[in-house]
Amino acid sequence: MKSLIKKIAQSDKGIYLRNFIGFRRAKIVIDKSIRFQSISDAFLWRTDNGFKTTFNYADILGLFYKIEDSFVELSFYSKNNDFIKKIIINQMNYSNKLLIDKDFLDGIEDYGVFYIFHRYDNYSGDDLIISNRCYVGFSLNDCLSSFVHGNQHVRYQSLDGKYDGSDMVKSSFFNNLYRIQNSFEDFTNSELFFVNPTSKKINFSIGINRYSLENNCSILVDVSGEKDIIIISRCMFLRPIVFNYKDDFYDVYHS
Amino acid sequence: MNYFFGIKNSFLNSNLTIPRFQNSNTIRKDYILFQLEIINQSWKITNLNNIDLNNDFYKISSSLIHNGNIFCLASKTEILELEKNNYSKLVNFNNFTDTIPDYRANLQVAIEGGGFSSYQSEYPFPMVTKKGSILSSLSSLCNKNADQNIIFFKNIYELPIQENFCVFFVNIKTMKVLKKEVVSTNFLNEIIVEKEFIKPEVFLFTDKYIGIPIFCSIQDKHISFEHTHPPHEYIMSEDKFKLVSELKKEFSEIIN
Repeated sequence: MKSLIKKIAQSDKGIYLRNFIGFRRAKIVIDKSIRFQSISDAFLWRTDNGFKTTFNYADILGLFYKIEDSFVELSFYSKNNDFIKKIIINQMNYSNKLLIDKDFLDGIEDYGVFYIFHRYDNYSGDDLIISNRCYVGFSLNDCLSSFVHGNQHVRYQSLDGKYDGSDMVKSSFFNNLYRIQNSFEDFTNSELFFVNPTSKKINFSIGINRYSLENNCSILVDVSGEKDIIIISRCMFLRPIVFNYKDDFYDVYHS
Repeated sequence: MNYFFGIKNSFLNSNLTIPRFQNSNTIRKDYILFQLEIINQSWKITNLNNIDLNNDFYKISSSLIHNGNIFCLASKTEILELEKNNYSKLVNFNNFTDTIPDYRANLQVAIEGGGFSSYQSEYPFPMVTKKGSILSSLSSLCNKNADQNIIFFKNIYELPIQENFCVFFVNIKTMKVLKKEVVSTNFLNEIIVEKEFIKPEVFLFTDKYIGIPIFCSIQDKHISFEHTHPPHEYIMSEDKFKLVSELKKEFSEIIN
């Protein structure tokens, strides 16, 4: 009986009901029907206004599973979720770097997101679910990159690339309030980067300003002058990356 | 619950901004800020009721931070729990800072007349009670082009002891120890990373105690400051602790 209740509670409808009534809410859910899968954040890339992005990622399958011939797929999207390009990297070290600048993105000076999936076609063994949390550095006008680690799980893909999915982050019927646990009063300018982690349109507000984001789209919101940031949305995990600027310097961190 | 900490360094100032609210905006007004430090082999508590409370944030300036002290939020009644054990062991005072997403303070470092960098930091109580080892890739956050790379390694352990243990830089390919540094429990330790060690196959590994490695790179007065994830965060299947344990065993064999 107990296991039946658990099974129902962990089903899609059960999770929807839990989130609807606010009982044991599930903010992030992994689809365990795919036994071998690679999960990715929606990592921000920026090439706008003099920014360059550096991506540091690990060879998880090589390090933990001793698989030497795996590879990674990286897919890049614009802020409007338009596909830009996909690259495959076959030769990996335990730790790797990729520079994302306007030349890499065929002249695009803007921002958006990218995903990284580990690939290996011949895996058979116990269940394997990995997530490359990675580190993304942002360099403005060729200054030292300010690094930030992965922020939230967004998409997944089977290790052989045949199946994929999203909507790991759930929404609820009621609004959720998220107050960033830092003060913004000491900075000249501040920006918040949001990505919609779901496959449905979401709305959110910061103070009196309201924003809408279509599925997997992203936005940089200027919050300069605000001392305190409160985000209200039905999306249950909408944590922005923060860019704070003061004089000639800047800082990037996940909120 | 979470403890919080700062950094004292000869050329970096650090500031710690501790919110008194959860990220869902819940505030406990009876919770106040306490400092804890080791004096004569026991935990000494100081009520920091004279700290500025600015718009729901406790702002702890560098003058109050040293590498051995830590901070927490508790009520006056809860903090007395430490008295019950004769100040001999840190206590999980409350669950106010046990939130999803995690309850965090902002730890910022800055150079005089230069840049600043920060991350949302905390030291969760479950880490305070554990011994073990930490594994972290050096090149995941060190920058070969920077003028300096430093790892700040913070350990908080429940007993009021300052015991030495070691941090190693290990090359997993050659299976060699490249560097060994003695560090201390209940301290913010500083480890310089030489450029020759910034390679994909070189990892930081500790014996005996765990902690949080925070990577700091400095170039032309610009700073990058971020912590690394523990290895089990990369694996989400049920065998994650077994896999991490097997990997750490490889490193243990190299350092021994």
